[in-house]
Amino acid sequence: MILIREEDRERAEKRKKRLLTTYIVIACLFVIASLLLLFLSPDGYTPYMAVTIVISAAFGCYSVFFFSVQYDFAKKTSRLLDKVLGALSEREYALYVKELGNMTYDGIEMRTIRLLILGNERDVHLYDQGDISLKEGVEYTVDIRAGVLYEIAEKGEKDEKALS
Amino acid sequence: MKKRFLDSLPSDWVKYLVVIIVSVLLWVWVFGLYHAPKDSEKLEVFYAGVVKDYTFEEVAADALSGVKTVSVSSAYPWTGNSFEQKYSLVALTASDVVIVPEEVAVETECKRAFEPIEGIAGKAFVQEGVQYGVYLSDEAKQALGAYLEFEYDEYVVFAVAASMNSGQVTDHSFKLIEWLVG
Repeated sequence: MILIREEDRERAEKRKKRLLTTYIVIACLFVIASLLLLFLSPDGYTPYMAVTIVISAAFGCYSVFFFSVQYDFAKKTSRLLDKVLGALSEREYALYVKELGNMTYDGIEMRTIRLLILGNERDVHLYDQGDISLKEGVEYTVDIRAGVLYEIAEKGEKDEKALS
Repeated sequence: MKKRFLDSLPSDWVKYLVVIIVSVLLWVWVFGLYHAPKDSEKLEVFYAGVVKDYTFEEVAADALSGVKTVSVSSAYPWTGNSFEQKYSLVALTASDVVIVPEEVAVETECKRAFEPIEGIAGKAFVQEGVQYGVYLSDEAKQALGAYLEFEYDEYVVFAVAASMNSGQVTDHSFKLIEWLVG
């Protein structure tokens, strides 16, 4: 079962571009609205100023949220997928040990599991919460790329010749 | 995304606060700057006497269209040297309209200091055959008495020649004189 596909990377890249485009459009609308309110304001300008302050504060907060949460996450996801899909493949037999919960890896919070590989315990991350259930003590054939689980199958499901 | 936002709040709340404060300060400053009265929208009145109530400034500004602020400066004509200094430095150079007792008006070389006045009703103050000022009528003095203290019998209003509002850019000085004597 392949957990990360090329389409995931393309989707993440598209999402990043879409978010940036949306931000630029909103920024342009904000600038236009603010300038209109400024230039059209009469001498008793307090209500116009209050509206400008409100939309300006809202846009400012959205900018903080955008660059420190929304766009930042999209950028990190895209970077992680680039890294995983461009990394060398490590194909091994692995014994599932336990679930470690969510851990942050490269700025992305991911479900993390512990596997026993070649006698060593190793923590491996699952992209997008890796919607799979693993059984303790069961041996799997895994493909790990840049510390992220790329492919997993129960031993025997795959042609063992494919394993290095 | 909501979870990520909530998780980011403990470290990012300062950024949100700063953004809100900066928005308020920036726009208050920008709007203030944009709506600041231009020189042609400000009138300076020099009064030779005591100003009892400075709400005169607001009342006068409200009465004149195109004028955003009116400010009054004053000096006592009976204080001798200091009055003469203020009269020549403030009244005749930096003011738009001057209100002085007749005794002061006749001592002033109006040709150099004031703009001739035409078409304003009221008793004319004439020097060298030219009308430079208008006397304040008793009714006008009574109306202005709430703001200005009139200690002399006759007061004359002039439009300062050096002012841009005395016909060079606007005629706000004449409008104010019309309002004062009316």
